[in-house]
Amino acid sequence: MGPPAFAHAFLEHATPAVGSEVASAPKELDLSYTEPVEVLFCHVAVTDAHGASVADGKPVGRNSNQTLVVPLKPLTPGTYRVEWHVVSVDTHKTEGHFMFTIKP
Amino acid sequence: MQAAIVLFRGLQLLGMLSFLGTVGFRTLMLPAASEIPAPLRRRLAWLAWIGAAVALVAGCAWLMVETASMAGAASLSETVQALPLVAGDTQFGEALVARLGLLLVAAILVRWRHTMVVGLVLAILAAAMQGLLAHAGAAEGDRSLLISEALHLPAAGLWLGALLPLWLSVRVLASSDAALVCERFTPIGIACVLVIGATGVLQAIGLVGSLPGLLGTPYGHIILLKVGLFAGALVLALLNRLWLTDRLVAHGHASGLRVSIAVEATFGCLIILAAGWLASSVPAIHEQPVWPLPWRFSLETVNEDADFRREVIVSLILIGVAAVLFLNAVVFGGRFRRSISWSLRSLSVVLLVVVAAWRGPSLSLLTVAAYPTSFQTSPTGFSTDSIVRGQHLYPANCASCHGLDGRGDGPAAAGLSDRPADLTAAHVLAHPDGELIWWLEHGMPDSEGRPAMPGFAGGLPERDLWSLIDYVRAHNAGASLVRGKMPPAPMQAPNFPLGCHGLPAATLRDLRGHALLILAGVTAGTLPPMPREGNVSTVTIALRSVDGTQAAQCSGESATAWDAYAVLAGTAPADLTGAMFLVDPNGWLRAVHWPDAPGGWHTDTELLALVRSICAHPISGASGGEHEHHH
Repeated sequence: MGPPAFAHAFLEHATPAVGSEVASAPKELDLSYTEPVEVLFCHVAVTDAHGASVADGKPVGRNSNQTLVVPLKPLTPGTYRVEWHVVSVDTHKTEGHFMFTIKP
Repeated sequence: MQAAIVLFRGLQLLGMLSFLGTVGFRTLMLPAASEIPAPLRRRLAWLAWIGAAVALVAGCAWLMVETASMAGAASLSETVQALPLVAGDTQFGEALVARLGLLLVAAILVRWRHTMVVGLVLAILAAAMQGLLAHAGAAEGDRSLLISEALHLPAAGLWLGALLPLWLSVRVLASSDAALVCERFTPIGIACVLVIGATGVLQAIGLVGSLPGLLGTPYGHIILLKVGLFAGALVLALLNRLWLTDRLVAHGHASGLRVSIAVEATFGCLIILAAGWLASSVPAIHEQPVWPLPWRFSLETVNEDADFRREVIVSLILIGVAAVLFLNAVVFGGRFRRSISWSLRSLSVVLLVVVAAWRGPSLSLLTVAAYPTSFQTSPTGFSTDSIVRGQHLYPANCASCHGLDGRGDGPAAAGLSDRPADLTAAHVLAHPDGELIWWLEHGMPDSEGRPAMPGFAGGLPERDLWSLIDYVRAHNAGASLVRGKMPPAPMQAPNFPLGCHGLPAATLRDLRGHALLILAGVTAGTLPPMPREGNVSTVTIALRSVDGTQAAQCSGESATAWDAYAVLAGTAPADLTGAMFLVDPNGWLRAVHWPDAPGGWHTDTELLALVRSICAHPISGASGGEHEHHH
């Protein structure tokens, strides 16, 4: 789990969940925040164990921009790192990171 | 960058409210005068223009620095590149551009007398957009903050922004006309103050949330500063109304009134700048408060002991009676002759002081010791990850004194003057997280004030200490559950990531609103059919995904879920198989079932009755062990 973010838009939950071990490779990463975010100014990096990006395009907004959806390339089993920087609609910036694992 | 944002936001606000107040003054208050000298008209027109110009220039500067901040731009050219995106495609940019546009049109319209009212309406609309540019704009689903901001700002402008024009008028107008304008000002001012107060309280409830938030966060301190300035301006306004205006009417003395209005206007400026600062600060509800007092209010002591309760009630009654007598003497004492009223008043003061000195100390029974962290909440969300992390940290850091099973009988315990705390005792769950973390960080003295438990601040990261608290709570519950009893205080079901069929949930917490049946290794054959009747819906969750057929609707996706629930159940992980945990729709653990033990349920009918019963009797006002994550 990333450091506690006691700021404006912080991560409410993620799919795959923060620190989770999932059996099958997800096609996308969903990040849900406590407040709507400005999608244009949000950056999400998803990287594999070698630091190579596995995101398949820029994040798009869903659920009145309270959720960011990042399309993913086909993933193999292993541990992935997610690093996010978002700007909430009231202009405040927050960031965090977490890992998830795909079981062999 | 942050300082520039605060500055330009504050200046923009100041210019806008000054413009709004000046136009409001010219439209609503000045016409009360019988004769308005042309120089005054010109000066007020200039004042409106200056306000609008400051608002527009500072507004553009604010847009620039906010763009640079949002886009993370390092240079001017990068900022200019990002400008169209922010101005056209973000809530902040669209709202600010719209506000500046409204102000520009309003500033042009107020040039002519017959379009001035339209200008005033546009300025009010520009101010009313405040919510979209501040914290309220991000409160998804809850529009009450937006509406309250939309009333707060125009009211502040009509009152505070009109003070400078009022000052100019009192200087220039004949005293009879000045008094007429002041009288017209009064009802509008009172209405504005009432609106400002009411909406301010609403916003504070939404963005501060609690007394610790007010006293223990920077945001709360700025609010206290703002409230202090507001109270000061209010006192000056009362002084103007009740005393100085009468002096103006009776003797033609305007100097006192002028000075008082000038000071009130200065307070107004400071209030508006503080508002800009507030809008750029992190709201108190998102921060961990630092409690400034060595005690906190608590009914713990008086609830436990009837004698203490009686003591406190008698004190409150006696002090209350003395205070009422004192107030009576102050308010009604003046009806008597001077000497009698003087002795009545001094007698009541003496009585109040004596009673307060005699009974006051007993009121400390209403308080308990508090620490700077007392009102801080755990950032872990009581997750199974955190419990298992704490379980791994416990043997090396805690077991030598508290013992491996937490009963306070570790090998080092014998050499200590006081027995280490029994971590399986009921009262452990009654302490808030914020007090447990204080003792873990700073240690705990023994009964004679000598250091007994060492502090771990610096030795272990804060995150590990929160995890130890989670482990101790879960382990404490386990000590009850292993004997077939429920824990002595309500306990949230530890949270873990899961995957569900047909339910939009990524963690256990997302399943709020459903009764939950959490299964440890129960396979499809032995799974009880789930009661699904009326408004009661029960979701079944396997602690770990079962190979082959999916027996439960959801299954855990964290390796820690099984181990943490074993701690909770007070057994070794290998012995957990067959256990079931029943969780109510608010996330509270309500029953645990072992296949071959008393308690729990043995038939589907019994399970259904139990689910119905916990849904019908929610836990209310639970405290202490509550692991709610506030945001």
